[in-house]
Amino acid sequence: MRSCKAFLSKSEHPLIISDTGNGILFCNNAAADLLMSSGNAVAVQKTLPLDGGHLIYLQRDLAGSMQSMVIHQLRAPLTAIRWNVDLLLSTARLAKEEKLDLLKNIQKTNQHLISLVNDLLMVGRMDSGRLEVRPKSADLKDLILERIELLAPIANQKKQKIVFDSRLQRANAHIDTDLFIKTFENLLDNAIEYGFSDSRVVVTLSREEKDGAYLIAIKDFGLSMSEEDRHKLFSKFYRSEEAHKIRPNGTGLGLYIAKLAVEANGGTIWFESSAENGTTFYFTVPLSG
Amino acid sequence: MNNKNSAKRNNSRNSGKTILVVEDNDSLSKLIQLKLEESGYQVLSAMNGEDALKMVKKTIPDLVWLDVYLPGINGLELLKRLRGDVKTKDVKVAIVSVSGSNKKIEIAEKLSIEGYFVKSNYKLDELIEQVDKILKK
Repeated sequence: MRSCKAFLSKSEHPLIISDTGNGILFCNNAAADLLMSSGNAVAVQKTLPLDGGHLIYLQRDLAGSMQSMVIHQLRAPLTAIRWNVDLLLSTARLAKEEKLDLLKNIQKTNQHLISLVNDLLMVGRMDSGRLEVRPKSADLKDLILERIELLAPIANQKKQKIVFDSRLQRANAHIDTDLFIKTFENLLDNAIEYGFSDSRVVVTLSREEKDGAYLIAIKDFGLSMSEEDRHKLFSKFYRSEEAHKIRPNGTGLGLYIAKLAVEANGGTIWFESSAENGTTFYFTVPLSG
Repeated sequence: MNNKNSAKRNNSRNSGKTILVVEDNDSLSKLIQLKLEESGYQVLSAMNGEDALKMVKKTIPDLVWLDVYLPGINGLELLKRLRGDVKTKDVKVAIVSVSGSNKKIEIAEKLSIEGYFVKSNYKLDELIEQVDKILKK
């Protein structure tokens, strides 16, 4: 048993040994980490009979983790709406501008809920392979300029300027435009949010003949990413500590959706980040025909 | 939030007592502050665990209103650090979280809290009443 424990303790797979009454006799480091870390739902992967007990393989229960994350994400805005409404109904002497503030809070939180639910539905369709890609002909330049115009007021609030740079007259592609717009909007919105105030956000569109693709780059001048962020950035629900500080109510779904949407349109997505140059996200769209 | 009118409604019974609200949801934080100020409390606020820790060490509040899901140091870790420091070990803490998991409640209760409240189960007024009760003990 001692040599067995020594062997199992080195395993990176979370393992426990239980007696026949399911009492834990031994738990290796990987299992202890899994069981102790908050926010992890744990499931039994398989059980093997052992002399006088069981060897149990554990795993992270992704479905359970996702469910608990979704519940948390929904409960906070729902509580905010409830408390705002309570305050409107219960406080008789609210001034007009206070009422307006509360109604604006409700409107903003409701909008946040709608986009959260839409994102969750999209993720559900993407994860289960049910996302329908509907390609049609479009000029990427038009799509980009429309979105820049839409988000410019948000950039203005931070005294940022969105600069668009392209030598192309037109950029015709045959793609699912909704997915393209979703990607571009997520990346531009992030660049504005995480870029410094009073800085520029630079969007470029070029044609990469050798790769047979258009290349779209969105560059911000903000904080660089940590090593941990670089590895996990496109993971579902991942939010870096810095991101959480800047935008506490983010969902951690934007970049996950962006990656899957780019790939559904036949492209690739990546980024570069440094303290000197900020962060640039790149993605490609195949040339039409 | 405009607090000019709410200041007039201050309840003088609670004046002088300070509550630190640690809540990362901006909209919720503003509402909680408004309601606590209406009830006559002095309110400080922090949006993350690191800032909250610094603030408690600087000025010990009468109560810390503590969310669990926070950027950086989460609420339970912050609670553990408060209990581990001679200067802050006795500060009163009420957990107010969207999560009602038994595991979290158990961890928090072992670290001696005044109460664990699941946000969506309470009206804000009811939570303020709970705060009043805690501070009258």
